[in-house]
Amino acid sequence: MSLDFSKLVPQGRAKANGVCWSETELELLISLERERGLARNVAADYIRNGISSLEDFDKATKSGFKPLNVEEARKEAEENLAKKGKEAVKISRNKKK
Amino acid sequence: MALLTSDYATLTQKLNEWYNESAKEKVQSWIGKELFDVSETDWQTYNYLILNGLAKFDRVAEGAQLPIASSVEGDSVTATQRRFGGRVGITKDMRMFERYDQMQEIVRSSVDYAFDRVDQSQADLLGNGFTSTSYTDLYGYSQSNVTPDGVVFFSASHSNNQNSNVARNLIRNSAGTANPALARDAIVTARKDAKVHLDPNGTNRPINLDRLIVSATNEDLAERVVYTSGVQGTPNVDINPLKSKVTNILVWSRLDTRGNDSTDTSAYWYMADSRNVKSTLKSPFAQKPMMGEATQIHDSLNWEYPIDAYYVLFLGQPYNVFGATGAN
Repeated sequence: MSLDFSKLVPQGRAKANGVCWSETELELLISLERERGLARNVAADYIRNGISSLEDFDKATKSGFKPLNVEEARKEAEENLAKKGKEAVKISRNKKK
Repeated sequence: MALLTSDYATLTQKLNEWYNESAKEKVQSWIGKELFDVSETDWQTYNYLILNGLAKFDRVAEGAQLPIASSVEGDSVTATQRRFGGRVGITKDMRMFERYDQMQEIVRSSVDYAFDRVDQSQADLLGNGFTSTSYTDLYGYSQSNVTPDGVVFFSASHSNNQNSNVARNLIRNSAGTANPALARDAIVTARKDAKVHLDPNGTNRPINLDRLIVSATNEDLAERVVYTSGVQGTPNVDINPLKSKVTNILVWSRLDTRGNDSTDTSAYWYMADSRNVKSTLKSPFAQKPMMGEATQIHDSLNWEYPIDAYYVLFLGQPYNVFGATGAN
């Protein structure tokens, strides 16, 4: 059986493509919605960014933390990967010199 | 006289007759089919879509056009048919000495086993419905136990794609404790929770949990809670209202122990809306278990008859079945 993750993930109803929320994550997601008034997809981004409790959320927002959404995280990961390759080439060139 | 290759057709017919006899008996004791939608399908990939209800029924001014009701698409899943089967071997010795009793026993036993496995795999979808998002089924493959919203089958937090409302199908008692042991109070609360169920549009869609599903271990307790004329466990003389509300107790011995990991799940219990349960529990068959033509194996000279089936298990919208582990 396969779920429609292409819809569930942007709605904040699944963690990632092929990954459902664990019970504790789902509980926190609902707490963030109810007790901190976040939209579900925004609450989901906080949890995807490692926030694991309401206290974590409060501390993170106090320090001005803005979570990356799935699309931003994907772009950042792609850029990091490309950067690693370029760095490796650069190091190799410098060694030859 | 020994059976020869020319007797293939006759023996096949005979085995098929035994097969059909056994299958007929076995289908009658196949409890999963009472709860699961086991209809036949031609689709290899089965697409299931929840419709979040038709939300239009408004007052209309004289001469005005009725407002159009448009359905709102909910979550969806796809389920792909899988093939299961085995072979029945009729040995040369059996044919040589016409051991029909043995052949009959082999066929009967194979049929029983095929249906037992199907039935157990269906029971396991309920028994594994409380934690995680998948489990290894009794065939050794990964089986999802989430509903189309991506949440484990029995949960207090089922979501929808329209708003942030959540709904439950995890049984609690009147004190709000989830997963209570089978008891009158928990049945009453589960029935109440189901009756006040709201669809994603906020409309009350009452679900009538009129069927109690229990393991063989809980059979006696279930019958006493539901069928006694007075309120079970109390000295008062009130009549037992559950007697007319829970109209059926389904005892499913395959719920006592999970087939996939031998966990004791005898305390688990469930309630279902008998009219709509099959829209939650889905098990479409592209082919019910059946026996095919024989082939002769060259080295052993066995005549092997394949028994196979195509089916898949998945969950639709969750609210027609409520469940509890009975742990609390």
